[in-house]
Amino acid sequence: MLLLAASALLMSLDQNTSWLVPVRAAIGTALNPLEMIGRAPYLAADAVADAFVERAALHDRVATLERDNLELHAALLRTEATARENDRLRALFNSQAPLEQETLIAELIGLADEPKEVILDKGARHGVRNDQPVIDSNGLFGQVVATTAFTSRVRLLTDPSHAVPVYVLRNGVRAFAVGDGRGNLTLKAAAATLDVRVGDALHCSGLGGRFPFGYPVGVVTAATRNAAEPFLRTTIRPSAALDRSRHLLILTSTPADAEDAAADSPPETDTAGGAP
Amino acid sequence: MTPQRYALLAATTLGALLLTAAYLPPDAPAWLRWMRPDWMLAVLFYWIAAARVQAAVVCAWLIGLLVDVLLGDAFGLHALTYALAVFAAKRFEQRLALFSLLQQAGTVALAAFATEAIRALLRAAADGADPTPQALVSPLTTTAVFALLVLALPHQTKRLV
Repeated sequence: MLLLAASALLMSLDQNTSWLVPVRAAIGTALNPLEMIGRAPYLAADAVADAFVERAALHDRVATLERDNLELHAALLRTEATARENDRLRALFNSQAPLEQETLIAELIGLADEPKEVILDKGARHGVRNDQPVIDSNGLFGQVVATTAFTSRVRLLTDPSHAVPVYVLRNGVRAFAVGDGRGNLTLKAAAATLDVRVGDALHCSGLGGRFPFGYPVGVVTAATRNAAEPFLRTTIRPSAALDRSRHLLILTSTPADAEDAAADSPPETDTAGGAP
Repeated sequence: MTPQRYALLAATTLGALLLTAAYLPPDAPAWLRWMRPDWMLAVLFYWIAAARVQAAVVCAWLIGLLVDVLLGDAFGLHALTYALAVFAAKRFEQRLALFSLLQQAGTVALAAFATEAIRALLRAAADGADPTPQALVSPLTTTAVFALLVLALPHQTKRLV
Protein backbone atom coordinates (compact mmCIF):
# COMPACT_ATOMS: atom_id res chain seq x y z
CA MET A 1 0.00 0.00 0.00
CA LEU A 2 2.89 2.31 0.87
CA LEU A 3 4.46 1.75 -2.55
CA LEU A 4 1.14 2.36 -4.32
CA ALA A 5 0.66 5.62 -2.43
CA ALA A 6 4.25 6.65 -3.18
CA SER A 7 3.73 5.89 -6.89
CA ALA A 8 0.51 7.89 -7.01
CA LEU A 9 2.22 10.80 -5.23
CA LEU A 10 5.19 10.71 -7.63
CA MET A 11 2.92 10.61 -10.71
CA SER A 12 0.85 13.48 -9.39
CA LEU A 13 3.93 15.58 -8.61
CA ASP A 14 5.44 14.73 -12.00
CA GLN A 15 2.29 15.79 -13.85
CA ASN A 16 1.49 18.93 -11.92
CA THR A 17 4.79 20.36 -10.69
CA SER A 18 8.39 20.62 -11.81
CA TRP A 19 9.79 19.42 -8.46
CA LEU A 20 10.89 16.07 -9.88
CA VAL A 21 12.71 17.51 -12.92
CA PRO A 22 16.13 17.51 -11.15
CA VAL A 23 15.51 13.96 -9.85
CA ARG A 24 14.64 12.75 -13.35
CA ALA A 25 17.65 14.55 -14.81
CA ALA A 26 19.99 13.01 -12.22
CA ILE A 27 18.67 9.46 -12.76
CA GLY A 28 18.69 9.99 -16.52
CA THR A 29 22.30 11.15 -16.45
CA ALA A 30 23.26 8.11 -14.37
CA LEU A 31 21.53 5.89 -16.95
CA ASN A 32 23.18 7.63 -19.92
CA PRO A 33 25.85 4.91 -20.32
CA LEU A 34 23.05 2.34 -20.71
CA GLU A 35 21.39 4.49 -23.35
CA MET A 36 24.68 4.94 -25.20
CA ILE A 37 25.27 1.19 -25.25
CA GLY A 38 21.64 0.70 -26.27
CA ARG A 39 21.97 2.90 -29.31
CA ALA A 40 25.39 1.54 -30.29
CA PRO A 41 24.02 -1.09 -32.74
CA TYR A 42 21.97 1.59 -34.49
CA LEU A 43 24.99 3.91 -34.80
CA ALA A 44 27.14 1.01 -35.98
CA ALA A 45 24.56 0.10 -38.65
CA ASP A 46 24.59 3.74 -39.81
CA ALA A 47 28.38 3.73 -39.98
CA VAL A 48 28.38 0.49 -42.00
CA ALA A 49 25.72 1.86 -44.36
CA ASP A 50 27.74 5.07 -44.85
CA ALA A 51 30.89 3.06 -45.55
CA PHE A 52 29.21 1.22 -48.40
CA VAL A 53 27.63 4.23 -50.12
CA GLU A 54 28.70 4.36 -53.76
CA ARG A 55 31.00 7.12 -54.93
CA ALA A 56 28.53 8.20 -57.64
CA ALA A 57 25.70 8.48 -55.11
CA LEU A 58 27.90 10.62 -52.86
CA HIS A 59 28.86 12.81 -55.81
CA ASP A 60 25.17 13.33 -56.68
CA ARG A 61 24.39 14.14 -53.07
CA VAL A 62 27.18 16.71 -52.83
CA ALA A 63 26.02 18.32 -56.11
CA THR A 64 22.44 18.53 -54.79
CA LEU A 65 23.59 20.01 -51.49
CA GLU A 66 25.79 22.59 -53.28
CA ARG A 67 22.85 23.64 -55.45
CA ASP A 68 20.55 23.85 -52.40
CA ASN A 69 23.22 25.85 -50.57
CA LEU A 70 23.43 28.39 -53.40
CA GLU A 71 19.65 28.78 -53.54
CA LEU A 72 19.41 29.13 -49.77
CA HIS A 73 22.24 31.66 -49.74
CA ALA A 74 20.45 33.77 -52.34
CA ALA A 75 17.22 33.53 -50.33
CA LEU A 76 19.11 34.46 -47.16
CA LEU A 77 20.50 37.62 -48.81
CA ARG A 78 16.97 38.69 -49.69
CA THR A 79 15.79 37.87 -46.16
CA GLU A 80 18.63 39.85 -44.59
CA ALA A 81 17.73 42.90 -46.67
CA THR A 82 14.09 42.54 -45.64
CA ALA A 83 15.07 42.09 -41.98
CA ARG A 84 17.20 45.26 -42.03
CA GLU A 85 14.35 47.18 -43.65
CA ASN A 86 12.00 45.76 -41.03
CA ASP A 87 14.35 46.86 -38.22
CA ARG A 88 14.48 50.40 -39.65
CA LEU A 89 10.68 50.55 -39.84
CA ARG A 90 10.40 49.27 -36.28
CA ALA A 91 12.88 51.89 -35.16
CA LEU A 92 10.79 54.57 -36.89
CA PHE A 93 7.78 53.37 -34.92
CA ASN A 94 9.91 53.19 -31.74
CA SER A 95 9.09 49.50 -31.47
CA GLN A 96 11.24 46.69 -30.11
CA ALA A 97 13.49 44.83 -32.54
CA PRO A 98 12.94 41.08 -32.93
CA LEU A 99 15.35 38.81 -31.11
CA GLU A 100 17.88 36.89 -33.16
CA GLN A 101 17.33 33.22 -32.48
CA GLU A 102 20.12 31.16 -31.00
CA THR A 103 19.92 27.60 -32.21
CA LEU A 104 21.54 24.27 -31.59
CA ILE A 105 21.66 21.47 -34.16
CA ALA A 106 20.68 18.08 -32.75
CA GLU A 107 20.34 14.63 -34.22
CA LEU A 108 17.41 12.35 -33.57
CA ILE A 109 18.64 9.14 -31.95
CA GLY A 110 15.48 7.35 -30.87
CA LEU A 111 11.72 7.24 -30.62
CA ALA A 112 9.38 6.71 -27.70
CA ASP A 113 5.87 5.40 -28.32
CA GLU A 114 3.77 6.74 -25.46
CA PRO A 115 3.67 9.65 -25.24
CA LYS A 116 4.85 10.56 -28.74
CA GLU A 117 8.37 11.75 -28.15
CA VAL A 118 11.76 11.63 -29.82
CA ILE A 119 15.17 11.53 -28.20
CA LEU A 120 17.90 13.95 -29.33
CA ASP A 121 21.65 13.72 -28.84
CA LYS A 122 21.97 17.10 -27.08
CA GLY A 123 21.24 17.64 -23.40
CA ALA A 124 21.71 20.00 -20.48
CA ARG A 125 25.49 20.05 -21.03
CA HIS A 126 24.87 21.66 -24.43
CA GLY A 127 22.48 24.29 -23.08
CA VAL A 128 19.21 22.45 -23.69
CA ARG A 129 16.50 22.89 -21.10
CA ASN A 130 12.83 22.08 -20.71
CA ASP A 131 10.22 23.97 -22.76
CA GLN A 132 12.61 25.02 -25.55
CA PRO A 133 10.93 24.81 -28.98
CA VAL A 134 12.34 22.47 -31.63
CA ILE A 135 12.00 22.96 -35.40
CA ASP A 136 13.03 21.13 -38.53
CA SER A 137 13.64 22.63 -41.96
CA ASN A 138 9.86 22.79 -42.62
CA GLY A 139 8.41 24.12 -39.40
CA LEU A 140 7.68 23.60 -35.72
CA PHE A 141 8.49 20.06 -34.55
CA GLY A 142 7.70 20.11 -30.81
CA GLN A 143 9.25 21.14 -27.53
CA VAL A 144 11.76 19.77 -25.05
CA VAL A 145 10.05 18.06 -22.10
CA ALA A 146 12.98 16.38 -20.33
CA THR A 147 16.73 16.60 -20.38
CA THR A 148 19.65 14.59 -19.08
CA ALA A 149 23.24 15.77 -19.27
CA PHE A 150 23.71 14.36 -22.77
CA THR A 151 20.25 13.74 -24.26
CA SER A 152 16.86 15.39 -24.36
CA ARG A 153 13.30 14.31 -25.06
CA VAL A 154 11.11 16.28 -27.40
CA ARG A 155 7.34 15.92 -27.36
CA LEU A 156 5.90 16.12 -30.87
CA LEU A 157 3.38 18.86 -31.56
CA THR A 158 0.87 16.18 -32.58
CA ASP A 159 0.74 14.74 -29.04
CA PRO A 160 -2.63 15.44 -27.36
CA SER A 161 -0.86 17.12 -24.44
CA HIS A 162 0.84 19.64 -26.74
CA ALA A 163 -0.73 23.01 -27.62
CA VAL A 164 0.66 25.92 -29.60
CA PRO A 165 -0.82 29.40 -30.18
CA VAL A 166 -1.16 30.02 -33.93
CA TYR A 167 -2.48 32.56 -36.40
CA VAL A 168 -3.87 32.08 -39.89
CA LEU A 169 -1.39 33.51 -42.39
CA ARG A 170 -4.19 34.63 -44.76
CA ASN A 171 -6.13 36.82 -42.34
CA GLY A 172 -4.29 36.91 -39.00
CA VAL A 173 -7.04 35.11 -37.05
CA ARG A 174 -5.61 33.66 -33.81
CA ALA A 175 -6.35 30.22 -32.36
CA PHE A 176 -4.84 27.32 -30.40
CA ALA A 177 -3.66 24.20 -32.23
CA VAL A 178 -3.48 21.01 -30.18
CA GLY A 179 -2.29 17.56 -31.22
CA ASP A 180 -4.91 14.93 -31.96
CA GLY A 181 -2.63 11.98 -31.16
CA ARG A 182 -3.02 10.58 -34.67
CA GLY A 183 -0.31 12.51 -36.47
CA ASN A 184 -2.28 15.74 -37.03
CA LEU A 185 -3.42 18.79 -35.09
CA THR A 186 -6.78 20.42 -34.56
CA LEU A 187 -7.95 23.88 -33.50
CA LYS A 188 -9.12 23.82 -29.90
CA ALA A 189 -12.53 25.34 -29.14
CA ALA A 190 -12.56 27.31 -32.41
CA ALA A 191 -15.91 29.03 -32.92
CA ALA A 192 -17.92 27.78 -35.91
CA THR A 193 -17.83 31.31 -37.32
CA LEU A 194 -14.01 31.44 -37.32
CA ASP A 195 -12.68 32.31 -40.78
CA VAL A 196 -10.56 29.23 -41.42
CA ARG A 197 -10.55 27.38 -44.74
CA VAL A 198 -8.96 24.28 -46.18
CA GLY A 199 -5.48 25.19 -47.42
CA ASP A 200 -4.88 27.93 -44.84
CA ALA A 201 -1.34 28.00 -43.47
CA LEU A 202 -0.99 28.36 -39.70
CA HIS A 203 2.09 29.92 -38.13
CA CYS A 204 3.20 30.45 -34.52
CA SER A 205 1.61 33.60 -33.13
CA GLY A 206 4.28 34.02 -30.43
CA LEU A 207 1.60 34.57 -27.77
CA GLY A 208 2.40 33.06 -24.41
CA GLY A 209 6.12 33.56 -24.95
CA ARG A 210 7.04 29.91 -25.43
CA PHE A 211 7.09 29.55 -29.22
CA PRO A 212 8.70 32.28 -31.33
CA PHE A 213 6.55 34.21 -33.80
CA GLY A 214 6.38 33.17 -37.42
CA TYR A 215 7.42 29.52 -37.64
CA PRO A 216 5.07 27.40 -39.80
CA VAL A 217 2.94 24.99 -37.77
CA GLY A 218 0.72 23.31 -40.35
CA VAL A 219 -1.81 23.52 -43.15
CA VAL A 220 -5.57 23.08 -42.69
CA THR A 221 -6.66 19.94 -44.56
CA ALA A 222 -10.27 19.77 -43.32
CA ALA A 223 -12.64 22.32 -41.80
CA THR A 224 -16.16 21.11 -41.04
CA ARG A 225 -19.00 23.22 -39.74
CA ASN A 226 -21.95 21.39 -38.22
CA ALA A 227 -25.08 23.36 -37.35
CA ALA A 228 -25.60 21.19 -34.26
CA GLU A 229 -22.13 21.96 -32.86
CA PRO A 230 -20.86 25.31 -31.59
CA PHE A 231 -17.27 24.58 -32.61
CA LEU A 232 -15.42 24.20 -35.88
CA ARG A 233 -13.89 20.78 -36.56
CA THR A 234 -10.51 21.05 -38.19
CA THR A 235 -7.66 18.80 -39.20
CA ILE A 236 -4.23 20.37 -39.60
CA ARG A 237 -1.36 18.55 -41.26
CA PRO A 238 1.90 19.54 -39.52
CA SER A 239 4.44 21.38 -41.69
CA ALA A 240 7.39 19.60 -40.07
CA ALA A 241 8.34 16.17 -41.38
CA LEU A 242 7.69 14.49 -38.03
CA ASP A 243 8.35 10.98 -39.28
CA ARG A 244 11.34 11.75 -41.50
CA SER A 245 13.49 14.58 -40.11
CA ARG A 246 16.67 13.40 -38.42
CA HIS A 247 18.46 16.71 -37.94
CA LEU A 248 16.59 19.27 -35.87
CA LEU A 249 17.18 22.74 -34.50
CA ILE A 250 16.61 23.48 -30.83
CA LEU A 251 15.79 27.17 -30.31
CA THR A 252 17.86 27.85 -27.23
CA SER A 253 16.62 31.43 -26.86
CA THR A 254 12.87 31.84 -26.61
CA PRO A 255 10.69 34.96 -26.58
CA ALA A 256 10.41 34.53 -22.80
CA ASP A 257 14.23 34.80 -22.56
CA ALA A 258 14.04 37.95 -24.63
CA GLU A 259 11.48 39.45 -22.24
CA ASP A 260 13.77 38.61 -19.31
CA ALA A 261 16.70 40.22 -21.13
CA ALA A 262 14.61 43.31 -21.84
CA ALA A 263 13.57 43.54 -18.21
CA ASP A 264 17.20 43.30 -17.08
CA SER A 265 18.60 45.89 -19.50
CA PRO A 266 18.40 49.66 -18.79
CA PRO A 267 15.68 51.51 -20.76
CA GLU A 268 18.05 53.79 -22.70
CA THR A 269 19.96 50.82 -24.17
CA ASP A 270 16.91 48.66 -24.74
CA THR A 271 17.24 48.00 -28.45
CA ALA A 272 17.02 44.19 -28.39
CA GLY A 273 14.63 41.77 -26.81
CA GLY A 274 10.89 41.26 -26.64
CA ALA A 275 8.68 39.02 -28.66
CA PRO A 276 7.62 40.40 -32.03
CA MET B 1 22.83 -16.36 -0.74
CA THR B 2 25.87 -16.98 -2.89
CA PRO B 3 27.76 -14.44 -5.01
CA GLN B 4 26.66 -16.39 -8.08
CA ARG B 5 23.01 -15.78 -7.25
CA TYR B 6 23.62 -12.07 -6.69
CA ALA B 7 25.44 -12.00 -10.03
CA LEU B 8 22.46 -13.70 -11.70
CA LEU B 9 20.03 -11.08 -10.35
CA ALA B 10 22.35 -8.19 -11.28
CA ALA B 11 23.00 -9.58 -14.77
CA THR B 12 19.31 -10.13 -15.56
CA THR B 13 18.42 -6.65 -14.27
CA LEU B 14 21.23 -4.95 -16.18
CA GLY B 15 20.42 -6.90 -19.35
CA ALA B 16 16.74 -5.97 -19.15
CA LEU B 17 17.54 -2.28 -18.52
CA LEU B 18 19.96 -2.29 -21.45
CA LEU B 19 17.35 -3.77 -23.77
CA THR B 20 14.77 -1.29 -22.46
CA ALA B 21 17.17 1.57 -23.21
CA ALA B 22 17.94 0.27 -26.72
CA TYR B 23 16.21 2.61 -29.14
CA LEU B 24 14.64 1.38 -32.31
CA PRO B 25 15.80 3.31 -35.37
CA PRO B 26 13.52 6.23 -36.30
CA ASP B 27 12.44 4.54 -39.54
CA ALA B 28 11.48 1.27 -37.82
CA PRO B 29 7.95 0.13 -38.76
CA ALA B 30 5.18 0.65 -36.20
CA TRP B 31 4.48 -3.10 -35.85
CA LEU B 32 8.06 -3.66 -34.68
CA ARG B 33 7.57 -1.11 -31.90
CA TRP B 34 4.29 -2.75 -30.88
CA MET B 35 6.07 -6.10 -30.58
CA ARG B 36 8.65 -4.69 -28.23
CA PRO B 37 8.45 -6.77 -25.03
CA ASP B 38 8.52 -5.38 -21.52
CA TRP B 39 11.96 -6.85 -20.82
CA MET B 40 11.99 -5.85 -17.16
CA LEU B 41 8.57 -7.35 -16.47
CA ALA B 42 9.70 -10.66 -17.99
CA VAL B 43 12.78 -10.65 -15.73
CA LEU B 44 10.66 -9.82 -12.66
CA PHE B 45 8.34 -12.75 -13.39
CA TYR B 46 11.41 -14.96 -13.83
CA TRP B 47 12.58 -13.82 -10.40
CA ILE B 48 9.30 -14.96 -8.84
CA ALA B 49 8.59 -18.13 -10.83
CA ALA B 50 12.07 -19.59 -11.17
CA ALA B 51 14.57 -17.66 -9.09
CA ARG B 52 12.18 -17.11 -6.15
CA VAL B 53 13.46 -13.73 -4.96
CA GLN B 54 12.07 -12.68 -1.57
CA ALA B 55 12.28 -8.85 -1.56
CA ALA B 56 11.02 -8.58 -5.13
CA VAL B 57 8.18 -6.05 -4.61
CA VAL B 58 10.44 -3.26 -3.33
CA CYS B 59 13.12 -4.10 -5.92
CA ALA B 60 10.45 -4.03 -8.65
CA TRP B 61 9.24 -0.61 -7.50
CA LEU B 62 12.74 0.87 -7.49
CA ILE B 63 13.58 -0.63 -10.89
CA GLY B 64 10.26 0.70 -12.18
CA LEU B 65 11.43 4.23 -11.38
CA LEU B 66 14.54 3.67 -13.52
CA VAL B 67 12.39 2.35 -16.38
CA ASP B 68 10.14 5.43 -16.10
CA VAL B 69 13.16 7.67 -16.65
CA LEU B 70 14.50 5.50 -19.49
CA LEU B 71 11.16 5.49 -21.33
CA GLY B 72 10.15 9.05 -20.43
CA ASP B 73 6.89 7.93 -18.87
CA ALA B 74 5.18 9.59 -15.91
CA PHE B 75 7.47 9.14 -12.90
CA GLY B 76 6.03 6.24 -10.88
CA LEU B 77 3.97 4.62 -13.66
CA HIS B 78 6.18 1.57 -14.23
CA ALA B 79 7.08 1.51 -10.54
CA LEU B 80 3.38 1.16 -9.67
CA THR B 81 2.60 -1.50 -12.30
CA TYR B 82 5.75 -3.54 -11.59
CA ALA B 83 5.09 -3.49 -7.85
CA LEU B 84 1.46 -4.55 -8.43
CA ALA B 85 2.42 -7.34 -10.86
CA VAL B 86 5.12 -8.72 -8.57
CA PHE B 87 2.88 -8.45 -5.51
CA ALA B 88 0.19 -10.47 -7.31
CA ALA B 89 2.76 -13.02 -8.51
CA LYS B 90 4.13 -13.37 -4.98
CA ARG B 91 0.64 -14.26 -3.72
CA PHE B 92 0.67 -17.30 -5.99
CA GLU B 93 4.40 -18.00 -5.71
CA GLN B 94 4.06 -21.54 -4.29
CA ARG B 95 1.48 -22.54 -6.88
CA LEU B 96 3.47 -20.89 -9.68
CA ALA B 97 6.55 -22.90 -8.74
CA LEU B 98 4.59 -26.15 -9.16
CA PHE B 99 3.14 -25.17 -12.56
CA SER B 100 4.50 -26.52 -15.83
CA LEU B 101 6.22 -23.99 -18.09
CA LEU B 102 3.08 -23.75 -20.25
CA GLN B 103 0.90 -23.01 -17.22
CA GLN B 104 3.44 -20.48 -15.95
CA ALA B 105 3.52 -18.79 -19.38
CA GLY B 106 -0.30 -18.59 -19.43
CA THR B 107 -0.34 -16.98 -15.98
CA VAL B 108 2.40 -14.54 -16.95
CA ALA B 109 0.53 -13.61 -20.15
CA LEU B 110 -2.59 -12.76 -18.12
CA ALA B 111 -0.56 -10.71 -15.65
CA ALA B 112 1.27 -8.92 -18.48
CA PHE B 113 -2.06 -8.05 -20.16
CA ALA B 114 -3.38 -6.69 -16.85
CA THR B 115 -0.19 -4.67 -16.36
CA GLU B 116 -0.42 -3.15 -19.85
CA ALA B 117 -4.12 -2.37 -19.33
CA ILE B 118 -3.43 -0.53 -16.05
CA ARG B 119 -0.61 1.38 -17.74
CA ALA B 120 -2.84 2.36 -20.69
CA LEU B 121 -5.57 3.56 -18.30
CA LEU B 122 -3.11 5.65 -16.26
CA ARG B 123 -1.60 7.16 -19.43
CA ALA B 124 -5.07 8.00 -20.72
CA ALA B 125 -5.90 9.65 -17.39
CA ALA B 126 -2.62 11.60 -17.30
CA ASP B 127 -2.14 12.65 -20.93
CA GLY B 128 -5.36 11.66 -22.71
CA ALA B 129 -3.24 9.26 -24.79
CA ASP B 130 -5.14 6.67 -26.84
CA PRO B 131 -4.08 3.06 -26.28
CA THR B 132 -2.01 1.55 -29.10
CA PRO B 133 -1.97 -2.05 -30.38
CA GLN B 134 1.20 -2.42 -28.30
CA ALA B 135 -1.03 -3.04 -25.27
CA LEU B 136 -2.25 -6.24 -26.97
CA VAL B 137 0.92 -7.44 -28.72
CA SER B 138 3.59 -6.61 -26.15
CA PRO B 139 2.27 -8.98 -23.40
CA LEU B 140 2.64 -11.91 -25.81
CA THR B 141 6.28 -11.10 -26.59
CA THR B 142 6.90 -10.46 -22.88
CA THR B 143 5.58 -13.97 -22.16
CA ALA B 144 7.86 -15.43 -24.85
CA VAL B 145 10.87 -13.68 -23.26
CA PHE B 146 9.84 -15.03 -19.84
CA ALA B 147 9.66 -18.58 -21.22
CA LEU B 148 13.10 -18.19 -22.80
CA LEU B 149 14.53 -16.94 -19.50
CA VAL B 150 13.10 -19.91 -17.60
CA LEU B 151 14.53 -22.32 -20.18
CA ALA B 152 17.93 -20.66 -20.51
CA LEU B 153 18.73 -19.50 -16.97
CA PRO B 154 19.21 -21.53 -13.77
CA HIS B 155 15.99 -22.70 -12.12
CA GLN B 156 16.34 -22.14 -8.38
CA THR B 157 14.59 -24.21 -5.75
CA LYS B 158 15.73 -22.11 -2.77
CA ARG B 159 14.91 -18.53 -2.00
CA LEU B 160 17.52 -16.10 -3.22
CA VAL B 161 17.24 -13.01 -1.01
